[in-house]
Amino acid sequence: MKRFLIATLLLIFSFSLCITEKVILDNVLNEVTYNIEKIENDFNENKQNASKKAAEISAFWQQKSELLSMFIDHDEITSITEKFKMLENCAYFDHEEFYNLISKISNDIEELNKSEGFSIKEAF
Amino acid sequence: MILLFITIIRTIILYFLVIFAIRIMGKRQIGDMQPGELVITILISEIAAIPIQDLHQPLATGVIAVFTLVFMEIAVSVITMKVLPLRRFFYGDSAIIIKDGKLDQKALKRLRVTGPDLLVVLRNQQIFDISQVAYAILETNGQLSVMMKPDYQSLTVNDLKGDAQNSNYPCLVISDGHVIKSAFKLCGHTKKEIFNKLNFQNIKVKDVFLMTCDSNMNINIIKKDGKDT
Repeated sequence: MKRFLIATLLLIFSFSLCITEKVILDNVLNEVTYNIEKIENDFNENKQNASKKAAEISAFWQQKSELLSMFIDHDEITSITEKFKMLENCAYFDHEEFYNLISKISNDIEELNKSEGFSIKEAF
Repeated sequence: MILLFITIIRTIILYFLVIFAIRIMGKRQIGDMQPGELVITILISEIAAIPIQDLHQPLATGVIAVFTLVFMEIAVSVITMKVLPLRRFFYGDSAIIIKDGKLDQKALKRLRVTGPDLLVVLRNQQIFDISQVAYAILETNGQLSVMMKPDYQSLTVNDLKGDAQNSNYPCLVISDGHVIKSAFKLCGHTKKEIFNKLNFQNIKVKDVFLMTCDSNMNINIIKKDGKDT
């Protein structure tokens, strides 16, 4: 019975890990999505502000990426991190690339949200 | 350099994880494992190897999979201890393939064991003549248990005393308070006869941990702990 208790605790730990991942990921992705939309809107009015915001959100992502890498494939996180770094650099010079990167990051975030969310399709 | 360090750290973590998982599942020799248990053990080591080989995979995916397998293995073993039909479903039944020197060819076919395979196993147990075998039982873990006919058994102190009796295979008729109906046919007695023996000793079925009975109605009863009074 002791073994069964330990095994149950392990299962509870596993479920807690899954729930923790979902909560952390949702919070980070919501924050990033909200800020990306804000940067996109700000860019036409105030490029300096948009660039500053891009640097902030990039720093936020890099900070959280260490935590996220405990649960998510490191390649996906690295890919988004690289795009954020490029976004910081091109805000002043290349507007087209800036929009392009914003769009790519949004897509990646959406994909991440889909792949990490629970669905019967994914389960099977 | 950093990747190598990461590999070392991950390997150490997963080493302890696998050792912990195997210990929780119970210390056993590979030969004693049921086929399902062996598969789970191999599966755990395979899953643990993925985060070691692929450094882009988060450690958590391996950990969660291993923990879930450990839970399932222990949960199934606990449930099958209590529910006999489930035990039969998960682990199967032992099968008598030689009885009184005669080979049960139907059982061999059903178990997909060939004659030469059987002879090899018997020879490994120093038995070269099937007719010397009283019972040969293929256990659920794949091992063959053999009981020799009395004439071919090793000499014991009882034999010297002159108490030697015909050896019969003691069938398990009650396990953990559950009556095993299929055993009645094997030991050649009815449920009523067995229950009469129990009643005679004033023992209830639910208080019996193990009860064996052979064709000579020699019974052996082991009561559950705390039911001795």
